[in-house]
Amino acid sequence: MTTGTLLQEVKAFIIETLDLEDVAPADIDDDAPLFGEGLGLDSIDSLELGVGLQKRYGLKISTESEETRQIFASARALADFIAAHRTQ
Amino acid sequence: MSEAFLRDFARYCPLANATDRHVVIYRNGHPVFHADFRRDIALARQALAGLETVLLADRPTVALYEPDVYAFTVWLLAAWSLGMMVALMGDDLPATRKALALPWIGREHPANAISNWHAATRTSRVLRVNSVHPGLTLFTSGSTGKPTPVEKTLAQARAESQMLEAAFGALLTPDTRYVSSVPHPHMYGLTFFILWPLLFARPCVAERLCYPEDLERLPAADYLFVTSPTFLKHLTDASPGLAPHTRWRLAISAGSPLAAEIAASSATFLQAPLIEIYGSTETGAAAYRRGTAPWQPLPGVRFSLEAATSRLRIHSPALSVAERESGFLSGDLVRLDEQGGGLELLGRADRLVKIGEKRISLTQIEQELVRLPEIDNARIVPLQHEQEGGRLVLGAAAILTPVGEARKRNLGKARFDRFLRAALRDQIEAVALPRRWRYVTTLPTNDMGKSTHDGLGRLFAPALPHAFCLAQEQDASIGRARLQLRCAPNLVWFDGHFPDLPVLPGVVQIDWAAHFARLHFGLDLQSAPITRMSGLKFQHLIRPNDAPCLDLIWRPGKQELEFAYTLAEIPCSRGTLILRKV
Repeated sequence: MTTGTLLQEVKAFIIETLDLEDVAPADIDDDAPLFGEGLGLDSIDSLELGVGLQKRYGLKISTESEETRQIFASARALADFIAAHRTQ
Repeated sequence: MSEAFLRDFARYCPLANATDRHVVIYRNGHPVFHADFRRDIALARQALAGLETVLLADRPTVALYEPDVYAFTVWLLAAWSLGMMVALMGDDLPATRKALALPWIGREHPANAISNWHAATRTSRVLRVNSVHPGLTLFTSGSTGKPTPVEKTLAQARAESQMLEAAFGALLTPDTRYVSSVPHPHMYGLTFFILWPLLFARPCVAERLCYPEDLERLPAADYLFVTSPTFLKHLTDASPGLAPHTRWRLAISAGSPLAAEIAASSATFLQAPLIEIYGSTETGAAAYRRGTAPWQPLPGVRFSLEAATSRLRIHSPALSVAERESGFLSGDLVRLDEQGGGLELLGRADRLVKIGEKRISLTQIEQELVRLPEIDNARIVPLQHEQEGGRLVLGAAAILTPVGEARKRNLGKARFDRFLRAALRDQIEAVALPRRWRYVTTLPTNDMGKSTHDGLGRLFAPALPHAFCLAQEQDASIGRARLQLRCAPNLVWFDGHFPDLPVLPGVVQIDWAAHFARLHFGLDLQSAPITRMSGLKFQHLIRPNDAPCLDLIWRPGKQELEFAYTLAEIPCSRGTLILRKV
């Protein structure tokens, strides 16, 4: 799978997991931060994305670590992490 | 005779000494004199005396709905003079009548033709009223949408009018006419527009002002205006001409918070002091302020703070004897100054929600929103996510200013939503930033200017199911996705389709297929719209709470999208959407 389609998939994954209304993948910039500025996600979203990653890709991440912050830095960072570590 | 009752009711008040030629009310511009008023009450008493009343809490009780202010007042005093408790109803819709098994008087009563009353003679039965007994049942219109009965004695109603007279009477003359834009069967309208002028022998104007332009047609006189923020907003927007030789001595606003700009512009427009009233159906009027000055207790009212919860406790002569001891614990969060007088309202206790262990004030978010140049008015609604273990998210229903409309057009809805979230980020916790945005031209309100919870909630009924992607594969020539959907029972599409058997419409299933294809394969339906559909089959109904699987196959070469819905392997529907070639 090319990085481009995985990036698209990751954006859809974020939108569905968090049930974001009226947000299309095109609204999520590849490199914009998901939290704070940019998409503006919050700490509860971070937990829900963590649970979603485990369900969907069999990936376990520890909450509130520096690594987690890097994984969720942007849609591209999350796609890179999934590509490198996915088990399903 | 009913004069005896009037004297008792109006004891200590000027009405007791009113002459026959004293004007009680102006109807259609014509005065109704005190003598006519007394006669009409006597006639209404006659009609009521033959009525089989129902005992409610040991008191004979009747339900009253009468849109005509004069007839309403006559019925009310007649019923009171017979020792009846009167339940004031906001409407007489069949459902309301069914819900309250009482004899109804007013509009529906056979004796309601007031012209007949004038023609008849006086009665002479003496009936004194013990004003300690409950005289009045009001139903709070409440923000929860569930009406709760509140009982009042005549003594309480009288005490409240006396407080108002003590606070504002000096601004008025004996001839100042009370005119109103609010409904009279509620506590605010009843006290300020009917009982206060009645007890202090000032006339009122029977016709309710419905539009700002109605101000242009008032006859020359001095007026007191009983109104609401909703009407004042329309008034300053419309800025009609004022009728010549009318003088506004005082304007009073209550029902919902009055914005400072509206208060200032209305006061300038009417050239009158504008007083905002704080109170509730349970306590009656309790505090007042002019402009943005701190709230002051009305004469005789005392405030204290329930330290543990920051809720306001109100001690007032208008409370029942039982409540006067401990005071009434309100649902409002406040700060009090050292003297216990000056009051700062911080929002409703029931408008606090917990999200992620944080206490969030919905009122504060609304206040921050209306501070933005893009937002004219806003209401925040807590929404529980449908999916299992879902978090509480907040929805914002907002009326935009022209600036906001323009920005939304430029950005598109999704980016505009995010722009507003970003604009609130410095003031509001991230978890409390509204997730769902609805832009409306009016907020669903009742006629007291209060937003109704049900009306607001309906704005946020989801149009899309909750979806979770189970599998997705893509290569250059084909894309596949399998989605698990859950159709929440409050989906907007189940509403009325059909009333007794809600099913998911086929056209919605097609729309969802296109929506999720856009989400997962990046279809651009703007430049390549759907031109044709083929092989459509609807085989099995999808019902509320169902969790169908949606399979999508996208063939970019052919510009074809195949979809199929299944419920536990049972085929529900399928078809192919063909997009215009680009």
